[in-house]
Amino acid sequence: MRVRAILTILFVAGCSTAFAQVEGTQYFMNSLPQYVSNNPAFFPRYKFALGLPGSMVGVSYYNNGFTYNDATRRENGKRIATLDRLIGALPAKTYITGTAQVDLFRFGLRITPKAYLSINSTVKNYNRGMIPKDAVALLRGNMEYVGKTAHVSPGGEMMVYWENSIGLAVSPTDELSFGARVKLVRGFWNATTGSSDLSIAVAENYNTTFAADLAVKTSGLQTEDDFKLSNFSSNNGVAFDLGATYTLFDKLTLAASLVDIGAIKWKANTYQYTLDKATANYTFSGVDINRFLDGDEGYFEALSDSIGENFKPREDAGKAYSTMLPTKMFASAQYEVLKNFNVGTVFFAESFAGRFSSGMTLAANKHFGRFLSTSVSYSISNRSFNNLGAGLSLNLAPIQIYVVGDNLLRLPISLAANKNVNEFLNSTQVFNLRFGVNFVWGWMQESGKKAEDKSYNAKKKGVKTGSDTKKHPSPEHINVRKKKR
Amino acid sequence: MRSWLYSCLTGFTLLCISCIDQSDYELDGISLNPTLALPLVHGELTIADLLRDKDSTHFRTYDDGLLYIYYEDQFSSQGIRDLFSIPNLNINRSFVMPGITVPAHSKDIRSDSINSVVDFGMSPEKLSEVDLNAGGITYTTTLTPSSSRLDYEVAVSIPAFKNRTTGKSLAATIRGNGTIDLSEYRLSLTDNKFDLKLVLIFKKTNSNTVIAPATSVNVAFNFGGLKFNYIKGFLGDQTTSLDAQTLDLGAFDGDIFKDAAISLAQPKVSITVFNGNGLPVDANFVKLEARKPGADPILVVVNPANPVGLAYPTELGKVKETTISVVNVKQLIDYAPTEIYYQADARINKGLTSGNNFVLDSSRLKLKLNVEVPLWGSATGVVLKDTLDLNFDNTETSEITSASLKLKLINQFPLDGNLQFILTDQNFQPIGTLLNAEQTHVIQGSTVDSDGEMQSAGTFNGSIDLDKENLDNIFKAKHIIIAAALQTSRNAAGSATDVKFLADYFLSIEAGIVANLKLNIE
Repeated sequence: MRVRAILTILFVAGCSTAFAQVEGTQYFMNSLPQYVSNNPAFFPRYKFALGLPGSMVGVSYYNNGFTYNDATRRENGKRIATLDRLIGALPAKTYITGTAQVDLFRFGLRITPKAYLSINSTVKNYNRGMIPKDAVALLRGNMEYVGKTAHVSPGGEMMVYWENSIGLAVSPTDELSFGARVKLVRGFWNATTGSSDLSIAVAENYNTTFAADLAVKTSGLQTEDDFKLSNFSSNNGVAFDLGATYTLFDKLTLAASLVDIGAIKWKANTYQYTLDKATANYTFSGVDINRFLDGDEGYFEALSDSIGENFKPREDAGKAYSTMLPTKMFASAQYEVLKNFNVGTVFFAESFAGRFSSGMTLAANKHFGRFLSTSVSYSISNRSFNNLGAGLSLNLAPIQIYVVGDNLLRLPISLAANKNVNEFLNSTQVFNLRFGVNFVWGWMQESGKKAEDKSYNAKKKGVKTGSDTKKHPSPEHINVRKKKR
Repeated sequence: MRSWLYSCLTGFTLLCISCIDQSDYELDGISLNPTLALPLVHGELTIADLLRDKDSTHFRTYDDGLLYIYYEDQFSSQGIRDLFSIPNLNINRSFVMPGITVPAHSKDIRSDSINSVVDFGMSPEKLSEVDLNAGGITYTTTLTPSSSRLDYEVAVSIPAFKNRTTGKSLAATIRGNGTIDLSEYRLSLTDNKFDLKLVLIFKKTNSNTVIAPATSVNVAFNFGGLKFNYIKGFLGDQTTSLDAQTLDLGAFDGDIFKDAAISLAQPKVSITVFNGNGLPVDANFVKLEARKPGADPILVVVNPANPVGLAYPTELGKVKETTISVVNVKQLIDYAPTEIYYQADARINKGLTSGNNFVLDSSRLKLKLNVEVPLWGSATGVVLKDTLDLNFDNTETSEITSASLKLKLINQFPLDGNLQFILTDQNFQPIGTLLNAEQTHVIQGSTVDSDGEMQSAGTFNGSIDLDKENLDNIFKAKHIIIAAALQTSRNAAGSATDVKFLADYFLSIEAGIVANLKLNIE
């Protein structure tokens, strides 16, 4: 009953604000060394892991506003853009996010039965654009804004940075583990919208006032130099990950973490682009009838020049500025249904540049022996409810090959049903994919600290540990024995 | 192993791409039905703004702010001056000598002399003084027979010709050919005549000179090219015609007042004559009438009655003015003329046989016509029109499915009326209107008090839905005629009353449009 209640709470919370950049399927794949990425308190199944450049490549696309199907329709064999339908589908703010990540190095080692050390070097790219609904709705005309103001301020964030981290997970008790990771960050390129207030006010007499207040800061973009690390040596930052897990009772583990709590101070090659509302404003009241009657031939040209001048952004060499990293929060519950088969849910949230967003994933994870680990998931994310994810890792120790994504399953389904993937693409708001090759050793019979505890306890009690499940008691059997004792 | 993995992934990616139906992403069109609310025009129009440039210069303002139309035209005539010119004059005189021998003499000997009265022969003028600024005397002396060895000169003396600068009379010694410049001379005449004295001079010689019988010295004078600064005397009873003139009254031009009935409260029309000729002149207006197209002209009745004796100066360089008022002003302005036409004669010294007249070379007779029309009165049937070109050739008529005009007019002018937009083809033949008959009364005149001044502005604030059929006509039309049929505001009883147009009155316009568009962009 308690499990159901917790799951219900998490599901409702996820549904109500399901807009975040969830990568929920991978969250539960403890066969991967990357398992620790979302919670530094996690213990992967392998005692030792090594990742070389390309051990993890990840890309993602998130759009909380619309799909291609929302923006177009088939009509008499033609593909027509239907803006009315698109506008109807949009939330107040449409965020389109694209990310990419490449691991350069990864090292993981269970240094003691109750401690796991991880070292990681990765390059991350985060791009996010925001389009307010009003900006698109204006394509439907400005009539609905008569007497109102349309806020059409776009936003955009872009950053590319290199992150080097070291983390440690410890498990002081059977029930509790916690972990922390410290990250040294070097920023390469950044563009951030400091403030954006673009508005179009339509008066009752239809006079239309355009006003813009905008401050965009950039670093590293205004240079023609070849890429040199030294060019970015002044863009430094620090970040932390914190996490904990707690085994509520034997089969249910709760976990929570905060990831990427930190910031980068951008100092290199900074520029600022600003529009000031004091000058960047113009009210169009129609043609000045006096000038029109005067036959002022240069009237419209002068008008155009004047508006262009008013709304020309001012470029200045900028000062140093800081941007927070996209901070994520995870809260999860995992229930072991059978040995090597568990189900879990993770509630996920991200806070970045004025946006707090969340989502959730339900996943079922199964290890087929130690050679194959799989996961299937269902995610609610970015107002998208059709995300069937999958994860697969071939554990051919010392080599591990994996691929995982939150919306992967519908792709082959679409292909099988329609002989093309259009249906999948046209209805997709969320797509992420991670894949790579790890070098791993030391498969633990059971996951995380519990496996370690139990295996060590078993050793003490003369129970053999190993990969051969036939020769050793299953967790259920161990629990039974515990209960009997 | 990694390369194998990436090969697999690349293959998978390519497989996925190959499984994309690309045609799904080639948009065939965009379907959009926006509703746009746009401001069209705004501003405040005063009377000056409503008039074309050339007309606005005629608008002036009294101290109390009342506007009036002011026209003036000035016609300058030298018709009187041109009556007079100094004719060329040829004079021949001869010294005829008997056969003698002139002994040697060490000094010049003044011999014979000739005195004569010369007449310029002008009529009916009797000049007493001529101040010249050009001209001269061309002379030729000859000796007959030419073989004679007489050495001679001729002394010329005209006491009536005095140099203006030196005050000296004309005196010169001449022989052969030459010219005496008279541009600096003032001639004193008696009824066009002056005295000329010639003296023959034998030049000194140290030998005897034998003069054969009938030897003569001949002198020929030509007074030519004489131009005057002024002439004085009696200039005769003469008549000259002044060229016909037309004064355009632009404010009443065009179709505005074609069918208008206008009653103006205090119009003023006057004629002022400026006379710089020092002699009595009677101006006779052969024709003085107001005209407009499509109507018979009406006579302009003047006071004093025609012909009008003009005041004239008694001192050189002075100008006297005579004002002639127009008696039937109200009839004239209510007629809304587009031009005033006048033609006049000038008669000098009517019935006189003597007098002290003068005329300067620069003397003019200027006629100045003044028309002053305060914008104070009443009118009906005033039509304002303007035509603009339209060209929606490249626009599909289906793009605007409906539209409505939002109009806010604050009208301080005491003018009330209907506004219509007439759509025409390329030959300006109407093909429809933008407004229905019941939608045209958008110009609400201001209310006025008993003095004819504004009490409160007339206001129209509303939306006018445009019929689909009318909208469709916009796309067929080549021109649009904006027409306003106006009348001055009525009094409380609904009858015509005199209203005033003050300079600070304006018409405030705010116009916008709401249009539903159907866009099918391919």
